[in-house]
Amino acid sequence: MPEAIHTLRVALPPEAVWDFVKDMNKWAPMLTGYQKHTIVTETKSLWTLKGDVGILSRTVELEVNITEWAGPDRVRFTLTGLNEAVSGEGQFEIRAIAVAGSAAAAAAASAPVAAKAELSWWQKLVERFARWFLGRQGGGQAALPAAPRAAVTAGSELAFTLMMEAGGPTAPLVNAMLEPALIPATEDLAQRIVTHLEKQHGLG
Amino acid sequence: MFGFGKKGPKWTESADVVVLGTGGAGLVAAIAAHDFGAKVVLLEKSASVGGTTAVSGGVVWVPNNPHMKEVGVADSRAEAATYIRTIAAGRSDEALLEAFLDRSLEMLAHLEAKTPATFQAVPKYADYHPEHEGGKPGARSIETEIFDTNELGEWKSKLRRSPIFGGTPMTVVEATTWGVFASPLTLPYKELGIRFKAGKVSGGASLAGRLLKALLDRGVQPRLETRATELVTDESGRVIGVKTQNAAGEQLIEAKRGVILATGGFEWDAELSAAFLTGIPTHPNSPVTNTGDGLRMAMAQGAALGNMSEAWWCPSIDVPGEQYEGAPLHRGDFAVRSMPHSIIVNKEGRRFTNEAHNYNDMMKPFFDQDPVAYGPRNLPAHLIVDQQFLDKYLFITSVPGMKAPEFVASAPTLAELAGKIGVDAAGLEATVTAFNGYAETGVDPDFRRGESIYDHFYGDPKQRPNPNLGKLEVGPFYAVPIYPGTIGTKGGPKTDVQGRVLHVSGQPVAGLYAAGNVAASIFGPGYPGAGGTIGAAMTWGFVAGRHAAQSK
Ligand SMILES: Cc1cc2nc3c(=O)[nH]c(=O)nc-3n(C[C@H](O)[C@H](O)[C@H](O)COP(=O)(O)OP(=O)(O)OC[C@H]3O[C@@H](n4cnc5c(N)ncnc54)[C@H](O)[C@@H]3O)c2cc1C
Repeated sequence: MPEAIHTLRVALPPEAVWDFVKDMNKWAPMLTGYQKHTIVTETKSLWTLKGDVGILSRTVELEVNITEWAGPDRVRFTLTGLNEAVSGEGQFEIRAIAVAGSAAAAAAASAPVAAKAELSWWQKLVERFARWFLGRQGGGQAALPAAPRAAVTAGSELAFTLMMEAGGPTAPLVNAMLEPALIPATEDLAQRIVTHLEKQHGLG
Repeated sequence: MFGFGKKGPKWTESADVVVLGTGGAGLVAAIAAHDFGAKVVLLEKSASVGGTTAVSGGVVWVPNNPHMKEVGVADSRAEAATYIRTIAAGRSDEALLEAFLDRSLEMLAHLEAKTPATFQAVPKYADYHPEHEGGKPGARSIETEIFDTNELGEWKSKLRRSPIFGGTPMTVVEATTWGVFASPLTLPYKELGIRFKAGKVSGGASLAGRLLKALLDRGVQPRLETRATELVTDESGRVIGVKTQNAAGEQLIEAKRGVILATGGFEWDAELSAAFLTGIPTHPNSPVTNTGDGLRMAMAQGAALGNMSEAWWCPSIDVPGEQYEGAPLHRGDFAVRSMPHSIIVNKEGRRFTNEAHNYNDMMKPFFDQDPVAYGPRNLPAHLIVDQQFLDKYLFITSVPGMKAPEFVASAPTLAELAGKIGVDAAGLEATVTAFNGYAETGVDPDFRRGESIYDHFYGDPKQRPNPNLGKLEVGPFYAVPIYPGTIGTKGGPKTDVQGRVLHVSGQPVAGLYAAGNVAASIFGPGYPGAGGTIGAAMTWGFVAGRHAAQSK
């Protein structure tokens, strides 16, 4: 099953991250290809996303069902295509960690654990983000510190995992197309959430 | 002419030939200009290489081409000449038609000998009027094989790909052998998935990728996101350079031997479309950067214009919400309308065209005017299919066995469907009754659907007696709007046999060339066969590039 995981660290306690993640209305528009969503019940919602997957590029209607609600640690869900032969699952996992006390250091220390993604590419991306961050804070100084020296504070690691699989006879092709689309989708969502939280808490 | 003073313009850089646009015309022009001795600068307004050419099927029409023999189709210059004269319908220049027949073969020979752009015949892709004198049942249309984009190195991600079928790396020969239209579930999806993952592309992306590779091998790197804005002329009116705009600001690039306009059509420019075209193609299928920039530049030099009312027409279907580069994506419909169990009707519920015929010609009746009602007779138009269609064929975004796409109107009866889409119910029912009768006899006396072997290319060979005619009789019935679109306009500056832009006086504008959709097409209102637009674009790009490189 095509799968992508993206993990980022943020200098906020898990409760603060959970507070944001638990309300899908807050982060839904941050999902790449997001068109709209409707909350049906506490655990069930309907999503419209737009995905570019070659010949089969189109808007996908998904039913999302929350299967585990374990705040502030984890929320798990399943996805079922309403107009497409796709299904999948995903989760947000929040772990308490100790991070250096500045947002910049937190960003610098962010490390992807996306085993299935191209690691060098991830690293480059995170590094670029960190450089940008440091550059912004340090008046253009783009050097990465060897080790963050700031005081250690309570922080969180936010991991977003998404797996999706096409069904039917065209599945092998659609899955091949889905994979490269999933990686930036998870990465973008995790990144946007972290950026938003940092801004909201005056860390940026 | 710019007021540059006595010393002339202050050039940012200097080249022999500057080519504007990286579609088929521009890429081949740049290759030819380089190979015939010029230092070339190639500019591209968008962030990717390939233009409409890269999102296309990548089929190239070259009559009497050497690959025809390989698949046993005989051709001759004389037959091709007769045929293209018919296609141009007396609205083209005889000398250009003659030149095309020879220069297209030279272009092909040059590319196949000196670049990775090599071709194979598509044996079953019939000319678009194959029953007319000189027409052929296939193989004048050629295509490249699968291309490995890894060969482009860091340029891999800069190659434009079709948002619709760019992800499916299969050639037209493969697709038709596998029965993509009639038996879409039998395709080797596993193999296609493996190819996709490996960075393989087909069609227009393969063609543009190979031409780009040829340029990179020659040390010519396109300048992306660099828009040519104006031509620079000297006191005599000769075009000597071009003004460009990119993130770094404005530049003046000298073109010692010539500027080649290859900026594509003007279909995305509402003002030019309204001014010139017979009907407004509200739903163009090309990338949004085709806004007539080259046309405006040529007009500013007093160019004579030709074929301005024409486009390569193509009906379009929209999937609501789909976007491509910030503009709505309009999908050209090549197959759905041609397969059995489908018809297109106007608001009276009447058919008005041969739905299965070539897109350029079948679309013209979309623009019919009712003189008394003073409005379009056939718009809005709807494509109607029944459940049998959905069970067997690809329907926009659904594959057989899937539910109909949610944006499609559906109803258990034709009358109810008509009510939902604002079509006259009695008219639709009468039309379907008559059409179902034609499906039984295999003859469509109204519009001759399924009579030409061209129609059969996008048909179902299992459907008897006619591969394009199948009854609409199993509910639910489905309807989707079908709009007038175009894969590119084909009017612009007139050119001579060397690809030079002609002034209204009839003389060439010194230093200025045009090729591809930016220029007046030699085919007038017609479309000779699959690849007719790119074949001509590449031919005139080759001619212009060679001539410019060799001129003093
Ligand atoms: C879905 C689809 C399938 C098709 N299939 C086929 C097929 O199989 N065979 C066929 O013959 N035709 C096909 N066509 C049509 C064909 O793609 C076009 O007619 C052809 O590619 C036009 O080539 P061109 O080089 O003239 O222009 P384009 O390929 O459109 O290239 C023009 C380029 O110029 C650039 N440009 C514009 N303005 C400027 C400026 N000011 N400065 C710099 N650059 C500029 C544009 O960004 C663009 O990249 C298809 C079209 C579509 C949409």
